[in-house]
Amino acid sequence: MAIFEKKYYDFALFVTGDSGHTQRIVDAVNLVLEEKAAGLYELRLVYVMLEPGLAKNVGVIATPTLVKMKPLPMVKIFGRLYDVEKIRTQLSFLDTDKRDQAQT
Amino acid sequence: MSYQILVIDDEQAIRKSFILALEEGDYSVTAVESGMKGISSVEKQEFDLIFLDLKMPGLNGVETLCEIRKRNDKVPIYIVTAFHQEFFEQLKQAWRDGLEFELLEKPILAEQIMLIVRGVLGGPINF
Repeated sequence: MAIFEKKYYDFALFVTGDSGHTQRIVDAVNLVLEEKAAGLYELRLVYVMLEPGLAKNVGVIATPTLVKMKPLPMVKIFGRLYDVEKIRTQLSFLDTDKRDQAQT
Repeated sequence: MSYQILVIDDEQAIRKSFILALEEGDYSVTAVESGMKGISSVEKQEFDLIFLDLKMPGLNGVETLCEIRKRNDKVPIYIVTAFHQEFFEQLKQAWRDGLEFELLEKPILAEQIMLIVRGVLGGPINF
């Protein structure tokens, strides 16, 4: 089994709360994660209105923010997370990870 | 054409920090000190982004949010508040009523203001 297949990404998506707008963001983020790391990630939804302490602990200052919690280093991506093309650009490090592992 | 940004906050220091943080960029900032003036501003022109303080005398942030949403249901609105459960209690009813807004933690640093604006208007960005 290639080393990359054992890698596990833990993402947390910090949003205000549950809404149609939130669902649009979740769908866009999931779409890109499925493209780039299918079967290798877990995406947790954090409603900041219900868990403000968790947002503070992670250093999230605004919604929506997508955080790669592990593996380190932590990466925080903020902004128009319903924009699939822009999410693809910001998550391009997943492509780099894949290439690095393939060469190992 | 520059982006139009509205800042509604009763504290002059906050309004000034937004103006200073964004003066270098392609942004036109309107900063007002009350919810009533914020609503009036929204009635007069279109904004691309609104920052709204939660705790203000007179019309508070939630009341101002409700009034703005009656006039514009699309503009991104960032409620600026401390990230503590006690402050969110006021917002929860607005949320249950279906009002859309995002959250921005205060205090906010000048360099963070520019990143936030870029992320919303051109983003996403890596924090």
